Amino acid sequence: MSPPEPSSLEFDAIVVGSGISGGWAAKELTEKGLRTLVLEAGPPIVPARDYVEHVQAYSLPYRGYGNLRKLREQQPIQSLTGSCNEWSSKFFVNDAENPYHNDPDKPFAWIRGRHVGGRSIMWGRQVYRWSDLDFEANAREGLGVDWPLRYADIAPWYSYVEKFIGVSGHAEGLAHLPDGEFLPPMQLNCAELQVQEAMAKRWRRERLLTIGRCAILTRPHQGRAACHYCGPCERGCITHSYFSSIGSTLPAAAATGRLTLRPNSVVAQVMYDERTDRATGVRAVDAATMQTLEFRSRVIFLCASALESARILLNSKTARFPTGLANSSGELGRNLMDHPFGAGANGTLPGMEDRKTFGNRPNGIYVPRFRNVTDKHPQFVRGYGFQGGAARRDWRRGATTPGFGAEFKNALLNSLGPWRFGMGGWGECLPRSENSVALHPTLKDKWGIPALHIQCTWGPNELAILKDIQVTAAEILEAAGAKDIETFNDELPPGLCIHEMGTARMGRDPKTSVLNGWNQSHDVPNLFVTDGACMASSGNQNPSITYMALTARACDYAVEQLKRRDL
Amino acid sequence: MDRREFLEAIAGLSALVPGLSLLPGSYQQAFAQGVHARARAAANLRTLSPQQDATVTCIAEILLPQTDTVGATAVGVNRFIDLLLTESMPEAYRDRFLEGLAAINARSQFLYGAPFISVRKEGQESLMRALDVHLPEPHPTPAEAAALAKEPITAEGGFALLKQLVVLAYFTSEPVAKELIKAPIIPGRYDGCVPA
Repeated sequence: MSPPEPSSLEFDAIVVGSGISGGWAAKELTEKGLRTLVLEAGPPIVPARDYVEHVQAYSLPYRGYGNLRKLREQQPIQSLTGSCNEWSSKFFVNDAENPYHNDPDKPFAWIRGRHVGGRSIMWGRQVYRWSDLDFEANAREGLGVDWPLRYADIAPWYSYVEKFIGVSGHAEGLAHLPDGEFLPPMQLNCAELQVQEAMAKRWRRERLLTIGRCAILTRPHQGRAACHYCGPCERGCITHSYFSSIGSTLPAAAATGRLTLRPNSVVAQVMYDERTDRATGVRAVDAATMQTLEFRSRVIFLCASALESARILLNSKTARFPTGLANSSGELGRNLMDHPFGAGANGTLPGMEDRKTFGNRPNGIYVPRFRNVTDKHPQFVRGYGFQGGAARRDWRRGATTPGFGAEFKNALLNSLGPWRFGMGGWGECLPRSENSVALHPTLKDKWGIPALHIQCTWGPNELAILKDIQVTAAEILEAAGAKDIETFNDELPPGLCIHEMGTARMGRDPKTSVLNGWNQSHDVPNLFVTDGACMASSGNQNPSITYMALTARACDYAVEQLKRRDL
Repeated sequence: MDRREFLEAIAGLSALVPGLSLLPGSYQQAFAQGVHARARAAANLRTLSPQQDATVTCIAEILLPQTDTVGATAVGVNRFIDLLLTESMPEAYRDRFLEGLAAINARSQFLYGAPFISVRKEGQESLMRALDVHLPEPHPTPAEAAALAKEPITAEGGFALLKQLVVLAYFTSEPVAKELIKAPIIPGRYDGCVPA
């Protein structure tokens, strides 16, 4: 079924993508007076029908085990991520319809959501500001290109975004992980408090533990209800208590009366006029009818995700841009990054057996980066932060605990396992030119759009970080008095952290970067890219809040330029 | 509950089989075919053979027995496992699971000269204690897991797979989740430290 056709094919602005970044572009542009078309490749989401966070395992055919045969057939890549499960696999793409290619020895996991709201429905909701430790890193070390902005440029936009989306967290006063506009923090549990205290004793403020900073409401905010702690956010949230574009930015955009949202619109190309040297609109395929559609606008925002935005531009070749639109630098599709993760340590914290938690806190602990902050590590540059938490296992421990019989059953029914504390590191990834994407010569997606060939591997710096993560995680557990400490490294492929970024980087020099300091194409002034593609480095923080802040900032700039007729 | 009571409790499914081991072979086979067909139809089993089902049901009930609360048999653990084997599990997993069951019975045959279900309760429990040691590594790397999956499955490995499924099937069943665990679906608040 096709959505109703927009009454016009001409708009002030077109936004490609309706997720974290696209939702923000839609809100900002419409609120600033632009008639804005948002094109979303996937279908609409109806929360009352599609959100399943309160559905219990026994109400599902496979009780959460999932139909693994179907998952392997239709979503072999998507199901590598734990949140693509029996409840929420519908929020992830069908891999057969959305192919890409990588060399077998260079696995890359591209995890995508194609529907209104994009990955803002299943995202991890962790939000951490960057600081100049991050923005200055490339320049300091002579790696990649220098960021064309500094913390002072983005700080007000972080505040602006945080005030709207609602971020709970605890202010720590760290210069390298700046505090934000926080709602009350969620509680640490008893075991996490014990680890926090032990760390403070051993490392003072060098390694500290704080509650995760997350885009989840701890009190009512902007007309949305506080979290009710049911737990599985990745299945949707009927009360919109965590930030998603469906629950927040898109309704704000719609309230202006200037938003046109067209789902099932797979954008294939940005159209460009050589005479005016401007982008004129986009060409899309109706996902249902396969009909080609053209929409025109004065300004275009690509917010389709780092790899999709790069793919669209690579697929928009013109005489002036034979390797892809806005690619005079040759950097389009290069410098792909993702955060190395999946390494850390677990252990048992003895005692506190008379205590437990109540409610399902959809958040964990955070240990801000402590490597290469003041000291200099001999093996690697940059650093990592830890995420994790403590919990007592319920009946699920029965699957891996020795024992059977009446006592075993009653223990699983009526008591909890010991406190287990575990955490994993999220490391920074360096920008490297050879980590890149290009259009595949023959492979196409279901809509006839050339698929990507992705070439991405961890470099020595990322591997050294993963190694160090295990060492320091074990040190922290040891300091906390944990027993049976076990380190792990799951050797996960790049992509699986779902923080892919960098494929149309910002920079000061048009010769070495795709976008300027306003997320504006150096080559095509009315073209902006504000998703993860714009990132000149990766930091080790979860990146979404930075995409949101950069998007709001770029919209402000674009509208000013439009008013001055400079675009 | 002694073994007799247990067998009675699960008689409606497929546990008539053990007693048959006392009968002469040909008669046993002919009789079993009819019983098996009926048992299979009664339980709507689509993958587990009556013998396999009897093994699953028997081990599941020893793992999580009927007490003052329901046991594995009462909540149909075997039927859920059969559903996963039939519809959900990739064929290679399914085959490995079934080979694991066979390995358990082979071990039982070696030690007691009889398949698991025909062994006396003390023998079954002592075998289960012996098998209950190779629980999965909490964190094998993908390479280690792949290498492990290539080796022929042992009775210990088969027991670990079965135990995982039995625990899942029991605790996610509606009677257990709703009546026994009673976790609030909408807690409304989070408290990090309350009396256990």
